Formats: sequence, C-alpha cells, structure tokens
Amino acid sequence: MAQMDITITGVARDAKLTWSGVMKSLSKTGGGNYSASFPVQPGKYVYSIVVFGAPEDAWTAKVTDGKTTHNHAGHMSPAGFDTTGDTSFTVAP
Amino acid sequence: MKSKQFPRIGEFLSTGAILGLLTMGPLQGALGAAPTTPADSGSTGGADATQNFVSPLGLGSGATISVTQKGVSATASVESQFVSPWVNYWQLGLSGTTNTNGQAAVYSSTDTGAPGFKGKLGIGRSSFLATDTHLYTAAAGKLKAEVWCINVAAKLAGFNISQFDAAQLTSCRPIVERAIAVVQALPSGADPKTTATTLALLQELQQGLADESAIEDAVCNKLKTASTAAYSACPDSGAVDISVEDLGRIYSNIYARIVRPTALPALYYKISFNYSPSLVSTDYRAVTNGVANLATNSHWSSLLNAFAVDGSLYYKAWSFGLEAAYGKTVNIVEQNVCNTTTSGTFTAQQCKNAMIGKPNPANTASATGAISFTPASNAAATRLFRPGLELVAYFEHPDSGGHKTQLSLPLYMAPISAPLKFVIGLQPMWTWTTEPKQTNDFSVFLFVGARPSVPN
Repeated sequence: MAQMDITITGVARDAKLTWSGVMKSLSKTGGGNYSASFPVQPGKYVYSIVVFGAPEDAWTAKVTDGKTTHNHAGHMSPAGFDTTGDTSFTVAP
Repeated sequence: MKSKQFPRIGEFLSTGAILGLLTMGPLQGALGAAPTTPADSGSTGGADATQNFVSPLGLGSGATISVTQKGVSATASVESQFVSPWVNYWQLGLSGTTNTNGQAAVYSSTDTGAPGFKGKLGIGRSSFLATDTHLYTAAAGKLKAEVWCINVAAKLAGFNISQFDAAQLTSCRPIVERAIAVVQALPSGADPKTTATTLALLQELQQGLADESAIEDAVCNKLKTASTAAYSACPDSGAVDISVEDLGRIYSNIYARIVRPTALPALYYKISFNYSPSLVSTDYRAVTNGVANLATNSHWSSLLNAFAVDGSLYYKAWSFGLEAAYGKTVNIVEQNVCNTTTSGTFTAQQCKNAMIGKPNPANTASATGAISFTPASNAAATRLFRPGLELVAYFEHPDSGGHKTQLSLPLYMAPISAPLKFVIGLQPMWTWTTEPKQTNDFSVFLFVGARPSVPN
C-alpha cells in the first residue's frame, strides 16, 4: 500500500480534490496552502484539482506517491478558478 | 488611560505581522464629535492597536507572530473540509499574547493590554466545494490530452509550433498529419530504426485521435526510451504540467471548443456558524464607596461566550463579507498605577497597568462588513507587483449603550510570484467610540505579512 501526498499552494479562496470520482478532504495549512494524504492500493487512478482564488493568482500542486510525481502550475482565470483537469496517475506495486 | 473592548466579536486572527505602528494621534472632534481629553502617559495613543490589519471575518492563514509596541501576539488557525451535502468545512482559530506588563499569557484576546484566550470554532458550507465540477474537469482533461498529443507529435517530428499557430489549432489532427509527413520525407541517410519508431508512435497518435487520453499512458511508456524530448510532455516525467486555464490562453480555439461550454460560474459563497469564547483577564484595583484601593492588586478573569454568523460572496476580483455576532464583551479601561518611593528630594516610581474598578461584562451586538478587491490592477506596470485594497467597517453596540465604530482601509502590494505569502502595505484606521467616553482616533499601520484573507 502506498501513500498519496497532495500539496497545493497559492490558493486564496478554496481548493477541491477529486480522486477516482470521490471528493477528498483537504486541510488548509495557511498562506494559501492546502494538503491531503491518504493510502492507496497499486493501480491506475484519475484525479483532478480545482482551485479558486483572485484572478491571475499563481498556484502550484504536487501529487506524489513517493515514486511518481506530478507537478502542476498555473494562474487563475479572470473568473478566479483553474484546474489540473482529469489526470491519470498510476501507483506502482 | 487606555480603553479596550474585550472581546471584539468578529475581529480575530491575523494573517500579517505588524512591524510598526505609526500613531497619528487622536483627531480631536472629528466628524462633529465633542473634543476629548488626550490619553495619559499610559496610553499607546491612536486607535485600538489590534493585532490584525485584515478582514475581521477571516480566520487568517496558518500561524503568525506580530510584534507591536504593546506586546507580542501569536495566532494560529486551521480549516479542513469534509464530504457532506450541506456542511462541508470546519474551522478553528486560537490566539496568544504577552502584554505590556511582561506577563507571559498562554491565552490572549484581540489586544495586548489585558491578556485573554480567544478561540473561534465554526462549521460552514462552501459553494466552492458544493459546485459540481466534474464536467469542467472532464473537458479540461480532454483539452490537456489534445495539447499533450500536439506537443508529442511536434517534438517527435522536430518542429516548433508558434504561438500564433497554437491559437489557430482546433485539434491535434493537423499536427499529427504534418508530423507524419515530415518524418516520411526524411532523407534516406536518417537512422531507419529511429525513423520507424518515430513513425510508429505518430501513427499510434493518429489512431488515438478520437480519445488521446486512452493512449497517453501507453505512448508515454514508449517515449521514455524513444524520445526524451517528447517524454517531457508526459505528466509523470516530472516536468511542470501547465494548468488548463493557462493552456486556454495558448490554445484558445481548442479551449473555446472543449472547455468553455463547461466553464464554472464566477459567483461563489461561504457561510459559517461560529462559537467564539474568550477568557479575558486583567489586573484591577477595587473601588469601595467611590474610593479606589490602589495599594491592593486584584485579578479578574472571566469566560465570555459569543456566537457569530459569517457570510461571504466572491465574484472575480471582488470579495464581500459580512459577520453578525452577539455575545458578552467587557470594557477594559487601564491606567498606570504607580508605587512612589520618596527619599529626601528624590522620588522613584514603579508602575503597572491596571483597571480602576472591577470589569463589568455586557451583552453586545456587532456587525462587520468587508470588501476586498485584488488584483486592483493588471496594468503592464504592475507585472512584478500587484496592488490590492480592502475596506473593513465594524460596528459594536453593547446593551448598556454607546457604540464603537471602526473603519479601516488596508492598501497593499504583493509580488506577482507569491501574492499570498508576502504583502507590504499601509492601513489607515478611523475609530469612533462613545463609551466609556467619546473619542475619535486615527492611526496608520505599516504591515508586512500574508495577504488579507477575506472572509470565510
């Protein structure tokens, strides 16, 4: 069993993590940072992160199981949101 | 003499460290109010030197320390989500202070004159979390698959796509077809094995054009050995994966076709219900039959309960917040109480701050409104630093009569690379109080810290 660690930075208003179609709880740790950790079985998953903030705010997200890492970065839209989109992640055995 | 209202319902945790307090002094008789007597030597002057410059509604961001001429304050807060149809987050905040008497307080209130524990525990609903985002993220995933296909095809064929071309594209198909044509036209001297591998990968892309995401993992696995440059377009390469809204600025036609029809709304709200207890304590001198016993120090502590409803709206660069609260407050009026020793023609004084008379808590209603606008400008001149501004109005009305009204206007600049972690700015603050006596104050704070977090 692996552990997923998700850290999100630069988010002024809120962030939403969906993992395999299920919303996961994020903790707000200050300074626009959010984080979540949970165990996962090896396999292929689809996740998405949606972030909300002031227009043009820069944000980043890191999704890792310790072996594979996805680094996301972007800027909020004029309406104040952005996303990683549905992204696949394979957790190796 | 300094007058403190404890607790100020609604004003809570800091997100910034106040490095300096530039006290402009009381504005006598401002707004037609009667002139007041200047504060005595024990006063720090100016408006209530609260520990935060931010919207009173937000719990702030994480842990901060603020240092003012009145003492050191530490605050901490945490917010967490949970999956539920109606209530979907909770929040908790605490603050701690040392006061000017040097008492190390494990608890605090909004001020440092008399320490007291202050907490805020609430549950609420965030429409950010409640909004259905799955159509948007699915469409965004399709956009990213198209862009991944474009980048892989271009890198395999060794050509660049200009920004103009990227904006004109409506799908990956023309790039794949162009890439296949380029590879097929390679001179006979090219490595046949490499050419065959590249062509096979491009043909696999061509066959997967109906749903690029379905072939992404398989192609990326082959790219690890076939083309390091093309593999950098894969999410697990470790390279930075550009977000969908950033990609939309580059591939505007593809974004308009796939993502825009599912774009999220721009208007959101949050609402929370909070319990805000305060344990306030202060030294005082008892008054008996109108005569204060200055020689005997007494200590007063009390747990004051308050409840608050916070609501906020967010629309693009604007944030609006409103808090209504009701609960116990107490007015702390401190003076310097001095022990004077005389020896011949010499005198020496040892002074402490204390209230004359026992504090008397009262029920108080309060309302706070906040408006934030950031970024206040996106002009070319502000590409490195972006301005923001906030207007906060506070009104407090104890059942015993009188009111306290406060208006503050934080203006700040933040580096565009880290707009939440560091801001520097000025906060003018105006305060009008009718109890315990009529005063009008104006002060300006210089602050450095995290960006004001308006309202949740």
